Amino acid sequence: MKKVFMSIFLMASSSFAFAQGFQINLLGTKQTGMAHAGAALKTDASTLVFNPGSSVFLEGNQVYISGNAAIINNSFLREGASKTEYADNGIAPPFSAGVMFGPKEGKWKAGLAAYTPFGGQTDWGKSWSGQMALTSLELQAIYLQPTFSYKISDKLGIGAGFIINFGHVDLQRNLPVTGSAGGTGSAQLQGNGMGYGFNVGLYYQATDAFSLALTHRSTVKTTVDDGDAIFDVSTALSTSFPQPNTFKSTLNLPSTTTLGLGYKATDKLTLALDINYVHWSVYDTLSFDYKQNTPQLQDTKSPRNYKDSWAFRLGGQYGVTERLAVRGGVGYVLTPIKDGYVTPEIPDANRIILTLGLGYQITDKFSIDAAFMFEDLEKRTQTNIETGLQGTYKTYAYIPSLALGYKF
Amino acid sequence: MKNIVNYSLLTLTTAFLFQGCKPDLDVDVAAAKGSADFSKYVAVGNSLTAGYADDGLYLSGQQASYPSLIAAQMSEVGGGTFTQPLFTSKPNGTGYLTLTGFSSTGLPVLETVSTDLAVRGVTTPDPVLNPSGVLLDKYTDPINNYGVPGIRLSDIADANYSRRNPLYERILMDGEVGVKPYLTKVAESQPTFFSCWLGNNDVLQYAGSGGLVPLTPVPAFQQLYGVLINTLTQNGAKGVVANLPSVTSVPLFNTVLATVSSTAKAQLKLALQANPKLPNFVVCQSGTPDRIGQTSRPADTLRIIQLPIDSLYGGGQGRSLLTLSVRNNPSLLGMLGQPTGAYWRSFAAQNGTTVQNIIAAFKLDTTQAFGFSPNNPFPTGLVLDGREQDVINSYTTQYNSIIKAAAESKDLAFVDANSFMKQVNAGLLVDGMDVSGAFISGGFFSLDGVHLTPRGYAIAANKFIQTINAKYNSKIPLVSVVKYAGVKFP
Repeated sequence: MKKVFMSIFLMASSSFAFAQGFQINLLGTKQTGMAHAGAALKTDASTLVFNPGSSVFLEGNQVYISGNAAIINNSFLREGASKTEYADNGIAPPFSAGVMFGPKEGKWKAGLAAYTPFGGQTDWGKSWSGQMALTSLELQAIYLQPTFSYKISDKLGIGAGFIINFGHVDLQRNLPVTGSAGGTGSAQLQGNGMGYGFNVGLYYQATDAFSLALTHRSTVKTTVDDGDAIFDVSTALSTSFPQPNTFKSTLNLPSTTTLGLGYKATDKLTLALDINYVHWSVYDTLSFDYKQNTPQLQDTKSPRNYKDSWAFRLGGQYGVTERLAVRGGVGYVLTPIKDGYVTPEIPDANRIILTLGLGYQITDKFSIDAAFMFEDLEKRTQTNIETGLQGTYKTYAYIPSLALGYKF
Repeated sequence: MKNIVNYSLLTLTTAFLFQGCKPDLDVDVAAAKGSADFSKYVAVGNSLTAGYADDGLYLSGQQASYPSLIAAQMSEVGGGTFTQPLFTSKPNGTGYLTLTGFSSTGLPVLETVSTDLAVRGVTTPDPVLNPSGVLLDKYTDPINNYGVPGIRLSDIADANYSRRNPLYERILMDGEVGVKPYLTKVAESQPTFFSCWLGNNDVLQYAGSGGLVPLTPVPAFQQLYGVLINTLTQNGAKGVVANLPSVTSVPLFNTVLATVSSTAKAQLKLALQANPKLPNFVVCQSGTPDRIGQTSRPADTLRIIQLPIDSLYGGGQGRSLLTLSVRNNPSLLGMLGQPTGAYWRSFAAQNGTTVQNIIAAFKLDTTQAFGFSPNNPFPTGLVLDGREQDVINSYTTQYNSIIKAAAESKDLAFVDANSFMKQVNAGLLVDGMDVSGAFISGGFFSLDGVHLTPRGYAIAANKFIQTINAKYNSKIPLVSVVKYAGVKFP
C-alpha cells in the first residue's frame, strides 16, 4: 500500500556513475614533460611503471618520487541557463614512486613501485543544478607493484610486475526528497576495495638510434565488498532507506596496451612516441548491490557502454648542458564515453595535451625534474540518458609536476 | 636542497596562478528579449497562478508561484519588478495541509496548519468559495500577480464576486469591494506582457461538487474569453495563454478519492453482508448539469441511479468517483446502510433550511438504509459518476478549442497544458530527478492533489518560458528545477 504513495525515488536516477576518463597519466615527471610518452626510453626508476622491460638497462640502484598538483577546472552550463556553474575540485595529488636495485651490469633488476593510475576528485557543491546526479566524487586507486626485470640479451629486456590495487571511493549526490525544513535528502556511497593485476613490458634496442617498447598493464577488477551506503532522508522515509546499510560493487579498471618508439636524433635530442590503447569496454555496466533492499531502494545496474579508446603522445628531450635538459610534448587523447553517457563526475571529452619540462642533475646522485601539463578538453553538449541532465561541459586541466631521483 | 625548496615554491605558486583559469560558458542574454517587451509582466489566472498549494495560499507557495519564477528569469532579458500580494506578516495565510507521517497501512497522514492565519475579520460565508466566512489581510498596493484562487472565467465580469471570494476581496480597496469586477481590475494593470491561465475552475468546481456547481455554458465561456484577451492585448501587449488540463487526471481524483472509494467499497460490502437484501449503492442523480443549483432542487428533477458497488473508482470497470467532500466527511461512510437522516440534517443546516423541507422537496424516507434505498439515496454532490465525467471531458475539449482559437487570433504564445500534464503523469526526468503525477511521491502535485509543489511550479514555469521563447524568439533562461522542493516529508 505504501508503494502507492511513495514511488521509487531512486529507480532511474539512483545509480552513481564512476567518473569516466578517470585514468590518470601522471606516472613520472620526466615523461609528463614529454606528453607522458616514454615507454621506449630509459628514463629512471619510473620505468617500473612505464615499461618493466627497460628497467634492467638502467644504471645501478635508483629511487624516484614524483608528485603532482592536479588542478582540474570543470565548467557546466545547464541547457537553457545563462550562467556558468563551476566545480570547486581542490587540488588532487596523484603520485608515483619507485625503488629498483640489482647487481651492477647484471642480468636482472628487482623493484617496487607505488602509483595512482586512476582517480578522480570532483566537487560541484551541494546546490548546483546537477545536484541530483552528483555533488562530489573522490576516487582513488593506488597500485603497489613488485617487479622483476630481466635482460634476455644486450638489446632485449623483459619485465613483469604483480599489481595490488588499494581502491577507495566516496560518491555523494542529493536525493529528490524534501525534508520538513525544505532541505533535500542526500546519499553517500563510500568504501574501500582491493584488486589484482599485472604489468608486463618488452624493451628492444633495435639500432643505436631506435628503441621499441611493447607493454601491457592489465585490467584490475576492483571489488568494494562492504562499503557504507549512507542515506540522509526524512524520518518518515527511514524504513525505505534503512540505516546502517552497506553496498557491494565491482569496478573494472581498464588495461592499457602501449606501443612505444624512442629515437635518438642527435647526441642532445631524443624523441619518444607512445600510442596507448585503453580497453575501456570492460566498463560496460556499473552495479550497486545493497545489502538491505526496500521497494524504494533497489539494486541498480546502470549501462555505461564505454568504448575502447586511443591516446597518441609525442615528446622530446633536449640536453642544453651536461646537467640541464628541457622537455616538451604534445598529445591527443580520445574519450571512451559515448554521447548520452557523459556525467558530471569527470565530464570527459577528446583532449589536447601540451607539456613542458625541465630536468637538472644536481649531483652525480641527485636529480630533480619539473613539468607542467596543460589539457584542453573539447566542449561537449550532452543529455545524459540516465539522469536527463542536459548541458554543456568544458574542462581545462593545469598540472605542475615535480620529481626527485637518487642513485645509490 | 635549497634548489628543491625553490622548485617546490615555484610549483605551488604556479598552481595558485592557474586556479583562476576556469572555462567560462556564460551566455549573454541581456539583449535577447526577441519581439516581446517584458518590462511590465502581469499574470492573470486562478489558484495555480497565485501559487496556491497544499489546499491553501501561504507565503512559501506564493514565492514559488510560476509567474514569480518566470518573472525572476525575465529580469535577465529586460523584465521589471514583479510584485505579488504576499502574506508577509502572517506567512501561514489561509492555512494549509502538511504531511505528518504515514499510517500503519502506509496511507499519508495529513494535518491542517490553522494557527496564525492572515484572517482580519468575518463576513457572510459562501458555500463554495468561503465556507468559513473569513476576511483576509488586505494587500492593496499595485501588484503584477492577479492570480485569485477559486476564480472561474464566468466570474470575471461579476461586480459582486469580491463579496464571495475573500482572496479577491483582499486585493481591492474598500470602495472597490462589490463594485469592481476582476476584468476591470486586470485592465488597469496595463501590461506590456501577460500570461493568462483561466478556466480551470469552470470545470474543477463542477467536478469537485459532484456536478452541483454548474459548468459555464460554452457560448458564455467563448464570449468572456474573447473579452478578456481583448482587454489584455488592447495596448499591444504580447502574452502567453494556457489551456486546461483534464481535471480527472489529477491525483485528487485518481489517487486521493480512489483511496476513499476503496474504503467506501469495503464499508458497502460490510453493510451488504450485514443485510444481504440491500440493493446496490444508490445515488440521487442531478438533472442536466447546467440547471441544478445547490440549495433548492425541484423534486421532479431528482432522479435515482443505482451503481454497482464495484463501479466506484479504484477497481473493476467502474468510473464513479467519490469527491473530496467524502474525504472531509469520513462519518458519511459510517452512515452507509443505516436508517439515518443525519446527512440531510447537516445539508439542511448548511443551506439555511429545515430537514423537513428537504425531506419534502426530495421525497426522502430517512427510515430507509442510507445509500441503499431510492428513498434515502447517497447525495449526488459526493459522487462524480461516469456521465458527469463525460460531460467534464466534453466541456474541457470545447473550452480548450476556444482558448486555442483566441491565442491564434491574437498571435499569442500558447501552452498546451493539457498535453503537458499527460506527459507529467507518465513521468518526466528532469536534471537527475524522476518527476511524475503520482500523489506525494511524484514531487509535482502538492498535498491537495490538484495544485503543484514548488518543484511542480518550477517545471510549469519552464514550460511557459520555452513556449514564450519559441514564439517571440526571446532567450529567457530556464529555471533550475532542482532548487525547488517537492512534498515535504517529516
